[in-house]
Amino acid sequence: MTKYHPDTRFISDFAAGSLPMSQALCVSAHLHYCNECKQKVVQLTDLGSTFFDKITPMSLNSDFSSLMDRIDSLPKEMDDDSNVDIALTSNVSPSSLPSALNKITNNSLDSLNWRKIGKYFSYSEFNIGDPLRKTSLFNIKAGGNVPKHVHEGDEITVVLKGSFSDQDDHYQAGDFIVRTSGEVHTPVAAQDEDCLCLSTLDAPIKMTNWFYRLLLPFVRRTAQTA
Amino acid sequence: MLQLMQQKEPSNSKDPARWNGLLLAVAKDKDRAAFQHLFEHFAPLIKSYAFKVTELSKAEILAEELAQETMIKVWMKAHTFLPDKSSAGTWIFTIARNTRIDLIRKYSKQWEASNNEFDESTLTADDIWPDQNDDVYKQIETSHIKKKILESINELPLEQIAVIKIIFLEGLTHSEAASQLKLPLGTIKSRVRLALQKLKLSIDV
Ligand SMILES: [Zn+2]
Repeated sequence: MTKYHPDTRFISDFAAGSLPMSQALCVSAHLHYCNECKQKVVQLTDLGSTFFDKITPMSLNSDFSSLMDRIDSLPKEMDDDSNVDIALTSNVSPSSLPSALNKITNNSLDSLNWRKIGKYFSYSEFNIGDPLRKTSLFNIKAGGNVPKHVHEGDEITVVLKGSFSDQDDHYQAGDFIVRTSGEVHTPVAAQDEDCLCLSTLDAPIKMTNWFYRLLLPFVRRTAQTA
Repeated sequence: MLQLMQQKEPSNSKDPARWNGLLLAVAKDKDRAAFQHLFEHFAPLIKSYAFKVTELSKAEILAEELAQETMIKVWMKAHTFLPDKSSAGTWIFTIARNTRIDLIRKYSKQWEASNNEFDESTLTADDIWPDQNDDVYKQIETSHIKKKILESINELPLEQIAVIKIIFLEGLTHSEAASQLKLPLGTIKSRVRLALQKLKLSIDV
């Protein structure tokens, strides 16, 4: 059972479409496992569309016939993507990873470029066009742990397969875990199964704010071991 | 269907069933007249929705493009619309939302700087934000939710409506809304939560 859910803030920013891509990917991964949150997204989308219905219209510069000209000039197969839909749904098994991750991994985790740190931990970073955050899949071998580290930025982790524990709790598939800057933790995978997670971390930002600089030297020195 | 289309706006423009009927006519018969009614009603709403993203310098161009691109998608994807799972208005709104996400990304400096091509392997909004074809829509009837929202929306205090509008229409995150309104993040969070409670949406707080 999924125990950790994105809070109302994440869910509503997600439904509104403003959540940064990498964090939205994490929320959508959670939704793959959690119907409860899916329903919230549906309700909030309805809320958004209620306001959309009441928006003050703004007239267009171009008219209907120029839109139809554009549509008529599209390649024929683009005019009807029903074939594509069928192809997409038929090769996705229900037990698989969230669909966005299947696209990222090209349906094969092995095709990714994995980097190993220590005996148990490996990760693969990918670029989804969000330069402010580092987004990656990571894997902890059964019974293994992640090297101890301190976070410099906020991090979201979603468990995709297997489970892990840290000093606070035990986390299972679907759990959406938020760690804020400065928290120390040492995740350990369950004994019987590898643990695969998706994570996105606020990329280290140059701290220009003097207050932050005062606050952070300890964190900076110990970070980046993972 | 004919009857529906002969009705002139605005007499029935707020009737969701009418939009559903028109959209289904586009789906079944590629009915251009039906599509024109949808275009005339929704395209100006979409343009306005896009225009609300104020930080973009090319707001006017982007808004026009969003309205057109969204309507093109409505035409092409009409056959995937399922009236028992969603209403035409909500369905078109989600298409506009997803198209806006991708357009903003395309136009953003960050994207330009990242030197990435927008191609088939690029993760798009549709990969992440579900449309109504998702299973969950079988379990709830969204028309009921909308009715509930409409019934109680006028009871919301103005400050809560303002925050909800900023978040759902202007595309600001909670933290961006906080800095725009010069309010603590906690205040934004609690206004959203109070609004959702009042609207009796089953969101735990
Ligand atoms: Zn959940």
